[in-house]
Amino acid sequence: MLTEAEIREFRERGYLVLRGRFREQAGVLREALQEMLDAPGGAVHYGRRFGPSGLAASHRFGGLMRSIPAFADYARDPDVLGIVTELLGPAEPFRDVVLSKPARSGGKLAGHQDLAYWDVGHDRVLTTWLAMTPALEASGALWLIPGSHGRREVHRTVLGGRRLPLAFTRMLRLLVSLTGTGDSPRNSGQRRWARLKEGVLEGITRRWPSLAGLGDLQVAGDTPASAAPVLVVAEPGDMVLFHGLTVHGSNANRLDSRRDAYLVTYVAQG
Amino acid sequence: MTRALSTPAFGATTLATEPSCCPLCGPDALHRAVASGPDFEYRTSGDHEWAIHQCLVCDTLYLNPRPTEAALAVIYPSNYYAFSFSQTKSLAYRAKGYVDRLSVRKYLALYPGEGLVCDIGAGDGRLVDLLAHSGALAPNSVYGIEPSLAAATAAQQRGIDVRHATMEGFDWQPDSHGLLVLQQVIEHVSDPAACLRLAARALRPGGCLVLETPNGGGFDARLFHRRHWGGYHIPRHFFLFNPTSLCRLGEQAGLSVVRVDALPSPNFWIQSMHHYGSERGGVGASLLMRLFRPHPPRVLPLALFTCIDLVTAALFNTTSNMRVVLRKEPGRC
Repeated sequence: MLTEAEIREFRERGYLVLRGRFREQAGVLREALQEMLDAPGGAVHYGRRFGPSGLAASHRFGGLMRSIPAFADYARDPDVLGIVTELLGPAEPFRDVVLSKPARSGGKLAGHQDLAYWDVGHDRVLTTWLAMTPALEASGALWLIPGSHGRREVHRTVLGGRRLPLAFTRMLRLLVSLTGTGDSPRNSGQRRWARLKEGVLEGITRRWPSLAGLGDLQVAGDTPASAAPVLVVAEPGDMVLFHGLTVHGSNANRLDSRRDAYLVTYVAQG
Repeated sequence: MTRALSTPAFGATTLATEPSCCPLCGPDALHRAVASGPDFEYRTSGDHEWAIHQCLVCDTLYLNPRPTEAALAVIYPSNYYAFSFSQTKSLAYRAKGYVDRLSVRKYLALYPGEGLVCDIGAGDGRLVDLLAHSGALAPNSVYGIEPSLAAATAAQQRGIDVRHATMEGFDWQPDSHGLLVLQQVIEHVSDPAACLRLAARALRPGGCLVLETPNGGGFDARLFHRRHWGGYHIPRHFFLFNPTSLCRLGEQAGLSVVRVDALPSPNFWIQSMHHYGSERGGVGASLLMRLFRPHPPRVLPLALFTCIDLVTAALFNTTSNMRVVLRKEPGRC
């Protein structure tokens, strides 16, 4: 359960860091992920992007809570749901994904608001980001902009440092929406589109790594000077809860161990 | 950590195994099981199912777990095809001899004019013999090393300088070699990164290392990837690279990439068809196994799959066999 101060902090800053509360769960999820990979023919959605070295820069395993009991148990863990309910009211898990940044070649993720990706219809959305491995400044730590959850930002697709026209971004956004949340397809139709999307993006980034941002959105406007990003260095079991409109991103991984985080997004009911 | 297989292998012998990982990305990299199968060719481990893992960072494939060094004498039986290549008189192997002579010309073009030439994993000395009689190299500058005592002895009896040694155990003199050849070898060793570092140390500045090895990203590798691909050569191929992962591994050893070429690999097609047939059952299966027998292969399928690979190499620069040339640049290593 949260204290009054923690609830106030989340409302003011748009995020909250809980240290060491889910250490045991992080270990269980790490093992469950490798078990899934050791069993041929895994049923989850998988995608990856390649970086300039020709090696993978990120891995995404989506829809785990619908197919792997350990992830389902975590997403509906009474402690987790209790905390989410205190911040959001009654809520349901909506999308989940493990984001893994490989050692040395893990890429950075540009600043964005999660709600730029989804058509939820309201703003009562939050994501729980659980560190499964250490996330240090040089190994893909998460950063967030305090207070940025007050308004919707314009997002653009950026390729090779150049912002593409807004119409192009909207077209890509429409294509991505065919896959549901993009990384947690729910039905066979979405799964087909998601597989196609991942196949295309993997192939494109393998051949032209500079196009790695094709599937990503990033905040187009300049952020106010008062809202400097705050880096959250995390140990396994640390959890960051952030609002669907909180601008956030993550650093590249330049260290010798991979960085894994499990994200579950909750949407308020009613 | 080693453990014995649950299935007795090769009569009463058991094979000790040990865990493996990606030589480029290490044990921390995400990996998944992508294939499994028995030793289709020699049945050295009975019906035991070996697992092939794929590193999800660089796509290198590797046998995991793999036999330990102590098990090598079992998984390379005395009738292993590479130990008696030169005694084989079939037309297919004579054709292979012609291809080897073409390869020798390419290798010699990379020779910087000075230094020793060594064929690592020389088998019965076929390539050493061709290099030594090319007329382009100084007498006594060409030799080979081979871990199989029987194969090395057979070569020596034919007057070919093949020494009984492993790459890791050989006494490499720094900056002594102008050309090192690892033809279908790097996939067999237990520590490819260490081998490349040794090669980098043994090369003189300007010297070249030629690696020929299966490409786990080739067309037939994808077609038969779940089980029957001949390139798996279960359980003797410990690592199957792709051009990117092998080049990165070479760069890690301090070498620079000169070129990468796709090579025809009809034998992998033939073995894949044979392995598929061996588990299919029925009349078609025995026909497949007869037509696509691996050792020695028949000329017709060899010619057919060579044509297919030549076309895919020309169109896409990808087959399931590759040649990577690495150079030790002056002032490095």
